[in-house]
This record gives sequence, C-alpha cells and structure tokens, in this order.
Amino acid sequence: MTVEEALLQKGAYEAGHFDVLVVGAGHAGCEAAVAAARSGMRTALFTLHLDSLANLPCNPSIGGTAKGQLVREIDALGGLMGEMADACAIQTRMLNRSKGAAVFSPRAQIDRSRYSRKMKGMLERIDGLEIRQGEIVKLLVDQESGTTCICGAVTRSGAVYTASAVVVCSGTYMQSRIIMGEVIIESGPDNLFPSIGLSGSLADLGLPIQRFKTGTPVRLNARKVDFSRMEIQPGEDDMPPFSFVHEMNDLRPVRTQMPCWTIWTTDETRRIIRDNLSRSPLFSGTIEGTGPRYCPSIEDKFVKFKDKERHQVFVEPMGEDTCELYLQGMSTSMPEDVQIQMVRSLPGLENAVIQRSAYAIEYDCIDPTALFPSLESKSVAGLFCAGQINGSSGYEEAAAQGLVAGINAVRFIRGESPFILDRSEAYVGVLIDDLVTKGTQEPYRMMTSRAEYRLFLRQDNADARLTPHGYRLGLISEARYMLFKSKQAAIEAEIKRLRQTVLPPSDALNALLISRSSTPVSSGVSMADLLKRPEIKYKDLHTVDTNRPKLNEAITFTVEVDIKYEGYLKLEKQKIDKFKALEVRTLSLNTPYEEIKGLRIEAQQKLSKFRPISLGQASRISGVSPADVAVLLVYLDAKKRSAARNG
Amino acid sequence: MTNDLPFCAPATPPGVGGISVIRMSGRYAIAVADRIFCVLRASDSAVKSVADMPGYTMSFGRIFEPGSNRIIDEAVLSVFRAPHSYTGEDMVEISCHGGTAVRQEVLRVLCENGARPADPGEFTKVAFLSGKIDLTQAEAVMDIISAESAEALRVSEIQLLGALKNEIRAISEKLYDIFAQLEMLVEFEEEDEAITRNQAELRLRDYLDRLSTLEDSYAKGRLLSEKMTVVLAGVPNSGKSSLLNRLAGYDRAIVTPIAGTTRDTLEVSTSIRGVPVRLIDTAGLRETADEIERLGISRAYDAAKEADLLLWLVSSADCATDDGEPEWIQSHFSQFEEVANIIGDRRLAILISKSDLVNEQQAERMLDSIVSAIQSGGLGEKIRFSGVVSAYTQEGIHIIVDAVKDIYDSTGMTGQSELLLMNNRHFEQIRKAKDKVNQAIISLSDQTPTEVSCSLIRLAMDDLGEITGDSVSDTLVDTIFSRFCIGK
Ligand SMILES: Cc1cc2nc3c(=O)[nH]c(=O)nc-3n(C[C@H](O)[C@H](O)[C@H](O)COP(=O)(O)OP(=O)(O)OC[C@H]3O[C@@H](n4cnc5c(N)ncnc54)[C@H](O)[C@@H]3O)c2cc1C
Ligand SMILES: Nc1nc2c(ncn2[C@@H]2O[C@H](COP(=O)(O)OP(=O)(O)OP(=O)(O)O)[C@@H](O)[C@H]2O)c(=O)[nH]1
Ligand SMILES: [Mg+2]
Repeated sequence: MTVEEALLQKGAYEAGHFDVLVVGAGHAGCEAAVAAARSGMRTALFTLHLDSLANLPCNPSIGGTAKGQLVREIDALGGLMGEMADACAIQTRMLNRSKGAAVFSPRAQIDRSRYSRKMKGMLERIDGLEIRQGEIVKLLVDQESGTTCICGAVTRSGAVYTASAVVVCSGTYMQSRIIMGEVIIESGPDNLFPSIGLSGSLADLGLPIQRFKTGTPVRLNARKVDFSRMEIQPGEDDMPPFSFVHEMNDLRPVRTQMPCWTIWTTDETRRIIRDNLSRSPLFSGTIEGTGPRYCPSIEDKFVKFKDKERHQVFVEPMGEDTCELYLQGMSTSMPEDVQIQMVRSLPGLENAVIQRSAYAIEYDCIDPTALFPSLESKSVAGLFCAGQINGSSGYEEAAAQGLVAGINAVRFIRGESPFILDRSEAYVGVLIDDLVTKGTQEPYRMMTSRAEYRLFLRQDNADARLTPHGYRLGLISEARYMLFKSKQAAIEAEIKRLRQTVLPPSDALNALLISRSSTPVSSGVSMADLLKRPEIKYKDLHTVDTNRPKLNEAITFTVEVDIKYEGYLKLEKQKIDKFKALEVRTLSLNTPYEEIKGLRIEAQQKLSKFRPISLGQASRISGVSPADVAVLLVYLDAKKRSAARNG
Repeated sequence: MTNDLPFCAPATPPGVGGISVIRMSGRYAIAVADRIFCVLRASDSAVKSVADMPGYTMSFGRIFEPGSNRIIDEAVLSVFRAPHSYTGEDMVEISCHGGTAVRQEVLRVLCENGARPADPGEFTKVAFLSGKIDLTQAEAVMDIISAESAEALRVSEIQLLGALKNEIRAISEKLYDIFAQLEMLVEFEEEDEAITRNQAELRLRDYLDRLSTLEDSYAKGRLLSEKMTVVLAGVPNSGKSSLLNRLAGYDRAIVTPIAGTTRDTLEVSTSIRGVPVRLIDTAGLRETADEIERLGISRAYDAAKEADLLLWLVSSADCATDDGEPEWIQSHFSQFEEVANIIGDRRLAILISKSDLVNEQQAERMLDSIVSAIQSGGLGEKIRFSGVVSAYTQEGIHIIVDAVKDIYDSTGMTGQSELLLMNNRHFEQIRKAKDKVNQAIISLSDQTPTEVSCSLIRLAMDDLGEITGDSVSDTLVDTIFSRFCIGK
C-alpha cells in the first residue's frame, strides 16, 4: 500500500514525517530508536503500551552465559542495555568463574518495573525522539525505479506517517496467542494487546512468516514461601558492572544484593506432570509453533530426559518494591489447576500463592534469511527488522540486533555502506550472521559455542573490540573514548612490563611456586612466562612482583588472560585471517550464478535466491558446498584477471 | 573478449622425446586449428578439414603459416568436442616433432591466429570449473602428472579414489565427537552425559597416533613424489660416471681415462624397480689447486648431504698391491671419511668397481679389507650395503637395484595397503593438525580451561578440512593451481 492509498482509508490522516519509524519498544526497539535519534535522525518509537517499555516478560534478569557477553558488546558500541541493567540490578554475579575466561559471563537480577520506568524516563528526554502509544497495522511502500522502498506506516487509529526508514521490532506480539492447557487467549505477553495485521503486511511485502512459541513460569508471593528449605544463592559484591563507564569509575551498581534460592523438583512434581501430560498442549497438538530447545518447558524436560529424576529450579526476586518471585526452570503450558499442584510439590512452596500463571505464547516472526546482514530486508529497501521478530529469543539478543538495525537505518538514509560486524569481531556478528545466513528452525538463543573465535570474544575485551566502531559511528562520546584509550594503553603497558620483568630464582619465588604445585625455577624467568603456567594466577604473584602498579581490576583481568592465552590466541588469529580473506571478497548482488560453470545446479539456485554479500557468507549457506565456494573463488579470480587483461 | 580466446600450451616437457604435444582448449579451439592445419589423411575420407573432424578422432596433416603458406611441420591432430574432453570445452591436441624450435613455431602460429598462451594450471582449472573434477582430484591430477614412475602412480591413484580423504574424514569425525562433548562442559552448568576431560584426553591420544601414522608416511610418499636421491661418489677415476651411464641406460656423462673428468654434479632421473630416482654423478674427490675443480668438489659434498643412498666407489685398480694383499690408499680413506661424516646412518653402499679387472676372490678380499678399514675407523654404522660391480660387465648392478628398493621399503611405514601422503601441502596440514591435537592433549592434562582445548580441536579439524576439501580458504585454491605448470 502506498501513502496515497493509505490516506484514502476511513479515518486516515496525515500524521507527519520522520526519518526513522521504530515499531515496537521492546529491547530491540529502544536500542534502535535511541541509536537513530542520537545520530541526529528525527525518530518516532511506537509501542502497544507505554508503561511496558522494554518489558521483561519472562526472567527478571539480564546477562548470563553468552548473553552477558552480548550486553558488554552492546555497551561497548554505545547501546543502552548495560547502563540500564546496572541501574536496575538487585543482584549481580559473574557466572562460570570456575571455568575459562572466555565464558566468564556477568549476570544481574533486574528490578523489572524499575527497568521499564527508567527506560521510559530516559527515552522521553532524548532530543529528536518521540515515543508514541499506538499499534502499527500496515507498512507503506513505493516503487522507485524497479525496487520497492519503504515510505511510511499506518496506525490502527488512522495516523499515516511517512518515513525514510522503518525498523520493525514487534517481538512476540504478532498474531500472538497465549496457551494454558486447554485455554487459548488471543493476547500478547502479560495480558498486553496482540499486534494484529502487521505480520500480514510484512508477508505482503515478501517476507516469509514462521510461527514460533515460547513460555514462561508462574510468579509467586514471597510471603508464603519457606526459604529455610532452599539453598540460598547470594550475589557477588565484586562483580564488575556491565557498563564501561561504571567499570572505569569503580562503581558497584548494587547497594544491597538480594539473594536468589535454588531447589530441586521432587518425585511428586514428576508424577503430577506424568499424570497430566495429556492435558499439555505441547503433546495434545494445540501448539503449532516451534519452541526453543535450549529453554524447554518443565514437561518437555521430563519427557526428553526420561532418566533424569529431578531438575533444578531457581527462585528469583522480581524487584525491590515487590514480593513477587519468579520460578526459573518451571516454564509450562499446563492448565492452571495443574500448575498449582506442580508448584506446591516443590520444597518450600507447599503453601505457595500464585500471582500470575505460567503460559506458552505463540507468535509470528519472519524467516531472517530474508534479510541482509545489515538487517535490511532483501525485498523492501529501507525496511529493517530486529529482535524476536527475526526468530531470536532473549532480551540481549533483541537489543543487539536493535542497535545494529538502528545504526544501519541511519546509514541507509545517509547513503553510507552498512555497518556489519563479522563473526570474528563480536557475538553480535555471530548472532546476526547465524540468523540471516542459516535462518533458524526454533527461537535462536546465543551460546558461546556458536562463536568459532570464542577465546577472542570475551566480555572483558568487548570494549577493545567494539568501542572504536562505536566512536566512529558517533555513539561513543569523546570523553568516553579518551577513557577507553587510556585503559587500552594501561593494558599494553602492563603486558609489556610483565614480559620484561625477569624474576631471579629466589627462595620466596620457589616457595610460592611449590605452594601452587608448580615447578620451581633455577634461572631467571619473566613474569609473563610464569603467568603462562595454568596454575599460576596474576594475584598469586603480587608478593614477588614488587613494582606492581595499582591497576583497576578490569585492566588486570585482560592483561592476565591475554598473556595466558597468547599462544592460543595466535593460533585463532591465523584462522581469523583466513576467515577474513573470504569475508572481504565481496559478491555483487547481481552475480550471474546461473552462468557460472562448475557450480552445481542446487548451488546456483540457492545463491541466486539468497544473494550473499561476500564469499564468506556464501560459504555458510546450507546447500553451498566448499567445492562451490572454490568455484566462486576461481570465478572471481578469472573476472579480475580478464578485467586486468582488457583494461 | 580475451577470455573467449582458446588457450594453448605444450603438454610435454621441453627437450625430451621425439614428439611434442601441444594442447589447445576453448570455444574456438577447433576454428583456430582449422586455420593452421591442413588435413592430408583422416580416418574417414569425408573429413577434409579440422572442422569436419568428429570428437575422439585423429588426422594426419601439415601445420602451415596461413599468410605465406609456409609449412612448419607434419603432425597428427586429435579433436575432442565439448563436453567430452579433459577441460569440458572443445579441445585440440597436436603431436608434432619434438625440437624446441618447432614447438615454438607451432605455438607462435596458434597465437597469431586466435589463441593465447595458457596460464599455469589453466587446463586443470577449467576442467575443475566445468565440474569435471573436484579440488582434491585436481590436486591428485597434479601428483599424477609429476609422478614419473609406476609406484608413484599407484599411490596417486589411491588418492584419486579417496582413501586418504576417507581416513582424514574419519579422524575429523572422531575429533568432532570429542569436541562436541567438551563443548557441553564449557557451555552448561552440569551435564551428566558429557565426557570427562580425562576421557577426552585418552581418546585424543588415539587420534594423535593415527595422525602420526599419516605424517610418517610422508617420508616414503616424498620419495615417490620427489624421488629418491642416489649419489655416486668416490675419488677420481673410480668409475662413477660410467656407472651412472649404465644405470641411466644411456651415455649421459662424459667418460675418459683422465682423472678429474667430471667437474660438476650432474643429474639424471630414472626409475629403478618402480621407484623414481634422482641419480647424481659428482666430481671425483681429491686435494686440488684447480679453482674450478674445487668448486665442483664442494658441490659433491652438497649432493652427499641430500643422499637417501650414497654409492661410494672404490676402483679395483686402486686397491691392487704387489703382494696381492689389498689395501686402501691413505688419502682415499680421508676423502671417504669426510663424505661419510655428512651422510645419515645406514645410507651407504661400499662398492668395489671395475670388478672385471680382477678375479672374484681378489675383489672379495678388497671389499673385506675396505669394509674392515671403515669399521675400525668408527664409521661402520654408516654402511648398509656392500658389493662388487662392473659398469662394463654389469656384474653387481642388482646390488644397487636391491639397495634402492630396500631403502624405499624401509622408509616410513611398512604395511602393504599403505596410505601415503605424497603431497607436501597435505603433509603440512597434517603436521599442523597434529600439533594442535597434541597441545589439546596437554591442555586437558593440566589446569588449562576446557575452552582452550575446544579451540585447539576446532582448529585441528579446520586444518584437516583443507585436505579433504571440506573447508576452503582463499589461499587454498591459489596454492593448488599454482603448483601446476603451464600446459596442465
Ligand atoms: C512468555 C515469554 C517467555 C519468554 N521466555 C524467554 C526465555 O525463556 N528465554 C529468553 O531468552 N527469552 C524469553 N522471552 C523472550 C524475550 O522476552 C524477548 O526475546 C525479548 O523481549 C524480545 O525483545 P524484542 O525487543 O524483540 O520484543 P519485545 O520485548 O517483545 O517487544 C516488542 C515491542 O513491540 C511492540 N509492538 C509489537 N507490535 C507492535 C505494533 N504492531 N505496533 C506498535 N508496537 C508494537 C510491543 O508493544 C513491544 O513494545 C520470552 C518472552 C515471552 C513473552
Ligand atoms: N675395466 C673397467 N673400466 C672401467 C669401468 N668403469 C669405468 N672404467 C674406466 O675407468 C675410467 C674412468 O671412468 P669414469 O667413469 O670417467 O670415472 P669417474 O669416477 O667418473 O672419474 P672422474 O669423473 O674423473 O672422477 C675410464 O677410462 C673408464 O673406461 C669398469 O667397470 N671396468
Ligand atoms: Mg666422472
């Protein structure tokens, strides 16, 4: 539909022009809108409900394995999520401390309602950004010299907006329905309105629609819970904050850490589930959407892992002002009456009072392979999609995409080349590349094992990897950039110092080594070489390291890992260089794949349809074999050579 | 467009044999050939010109220069029509007379009449591009082209059939299995089914062994692809050049009764019992004031360093003494010592040459006395073979043949259904992978975090994938095709 046609509809009116319209004010939409507005674009952000901006409809937490890395990356690029999470954290912990540095993952319990309120107040104060409650029901397009271009959107109440770019971040709301056992309700999460019509409009514009599902557990009142039967899980006072600025100022965001608790399901829980399986919509066939494998409902878990007698459940606070508790691990789509029995079968919850029921939710999303790595649609110029609409799941995954889509909407309007992070630079790059290149058959969740270059993509060096990008994009202030540079300089200096400081063999040193079951030394040894021993920690060496400068922990952490992993990082780096060599070989969008001899027919079809932007991306498309890639390489070579011959 | 021009190149090496084959491939290959070739006799009398020739047929005729009608050569021309040719395009092969001059002339007229010179490896590259062969096959083709003996060909064929690929894939799959399980340890809190680091380490050791076996096989594979180096050494006039000529089957080296005839090292490629061999003749070793001769002698030492087998010749004429008791001239022994010190253990054959000048018992006595002199000089462990030979009567030639075969058989592994790495690139990849697997094993045995072990295994799998063609890199394709020479 064009703007003119839209204005002919009953009740329609011209509501004005914006550079960027962002549809949806979840985690993706908020990042996109702020990135656009801060880049000087007049931006409007729409939401179905203004009091649930950046809502956390499920777990009241941000971060965790792989997700914590994403938050640090968003922050390093100049996004919102890190600072917001710090400001609303009620408990913080660094997960995986017993494992390697690459999987150290910050996680925070979040005061859910404070998060929404703060986000609202923040957005309201940004120049050039208007936030608006209203449902977008249709996207408007124009034909410009053969290509379809976005040109605006219409709300349910008839407002017709024109715009140069539109970012759709509609989350789990499109044609959504909530399912509890036999009960089905047309609704978005948290009894919010569903979004009706938008997915049809997207389908009309050539974006393929899929149907996914996800679920959430019950919420309880803490006053009827017997915590003495649970294992307490306190926060860590010394977890560094998500945000770089807070980190460099040594700010610890949480004043008083609220504890979480852990319990295990009982035989009774198992029995209740088994007895009522037939009433679960998952097994009775009511649910058509595909759910996430990595975040299954409790009934799923009992069915899939038959031998496992019990599963762990986390009891987490929802906020400081509320007694509401969240039961992580007990997500279910069982009927309400079964839910009550299940919850009461858990230790300490015998008298539990449920405040909100668990439910499964089904929603429309798009097949993300319809997008370029910039998150722009392949069929409509200027239309971007980000967040759960792209088949992902999770707040952090959504925010990361929102930020990239916002940045690229701006670059699109300015006629600049898209901002694309590759798989060796960031989890953000891995996430988007996975989605747009491989697509997804189920809600996609970030995991560290999805990253080939995991040793590089750590939470501690997210700033080193991405802040220069953020600065170049105008999302990092001059002052912060200077602070960043001084941190990097300090890291370099300390690494150099440790390489150059040679400790003579002394009784003190050897006693220390022996106490760590490390081989004593008989000749001088550099501190860096000592640190390379897996059993020796930077902290251990302070007694023998007499000239040690006083450094922020964020600095010494990176110093230690970079030295310890030096050899391994070098190996990964060699692989990254090879990987990049294919990424930089760009494929023109109108490469005549049908005419390239040697490509298998299947590959020709796949490639023509897919239109990869680089040889690297082509190599990851399913159905394109390494042999096909070799053919493309030789083809590009021959093209270059014949151009050279002719020219 | 230049790219549409057919490309041409000689397909046989320069300077060898009586016939040169020149190949041309491309859409207009037949048209170009038609311009410069006049058919005199063909399989079918209906064939009057190259354009008339069906695929897979030959004609006899003349190559001429179109403007002047000057005849360049008489030749046999074969036509292959797309897609039934090596490259998948129309192809022409011209067999003309072997001289370099004729060859150059033919290439020149081709290029002046619509063809262009081929890039290195272009024929195989086009074959690959038209889907006739895959990347690893292209590589095996390269090995076959350079394989000059039956034994090398056999091993190359195995590669073509994918046995090597299968073994590497099998190892890769096993590595992946461990990798996936270790990933669980990294990614999740508690995972009951995952293997322990200990178990992973043990299993990795097995795969390390399999990689080592492949790695070791290169020692032998290399002998096949790069040829075994057999060096003839000794004092002047000991009969080295004569023996080289005998082994090569033709008079390659100059032979005179003058001591110091051979001034420079000289090389012949041949095949001995299926084993490709580089035979190197060297300047006779002696103290000399002659600058040129000295340079030649220092090259002889360089050759000795590379020897897989060194034949030390002692002329029976140099051992004969008046009283009939053989004895080694002192200066000859010190020449020998110098060479023996730079070659590897058990790489030496001591041969009494010109056996036809003495009787059998004398020859045997000479050999015994020389061998015991060497042993008492402390160099006994260098000797692997010894015997009595004559370049004139061919007596004892079998000793050299057996020695070559023996060295070949005892290099690397000894199994029969052997999988040999012949290709240096494969060898390097295996080595890299092995090194990473080894590091992964170490990382699992100490307190290094599991994420590091995972990274190493992942990288090892990538290294292996570049052999099997399961992963490609930008440089790989270039590397493979640049190994080809022009005309292949
Ligand atoms: C029940 C449930 C369970 C979940 N469980 C998990 C889980 O276990 N693990 C996990 O990682 N993640 C889970 N999530 C996912 C997580 O909530 C989302 O991934 C994340 O919030 C997505 O962010 P988003 O910005 O893409 O969309 P959302 O946060 O869903 O925000 C969408 C926004 O779009 C607005 N909107 C939608 N349509 C329109 C329209 N037509 N016009 C105007 N505004 C519109 C909405 O009002 C809202 O502001 C769950 C979500 C739900 C609802
Ligand atoms: N009777 C006999 N004479 C031989 C034999 N082999 C070589 N001769 C002769 O020995 C002389 C030297 O032979 P060459 O082969 O030139 O010896 P060389 O070791 O190459 O000598 P330099 O190149 O000078 O070091 C020649 O006159 C040969 O004819 C042999 O088997 N029997
Ligand atoms: Mg000679």
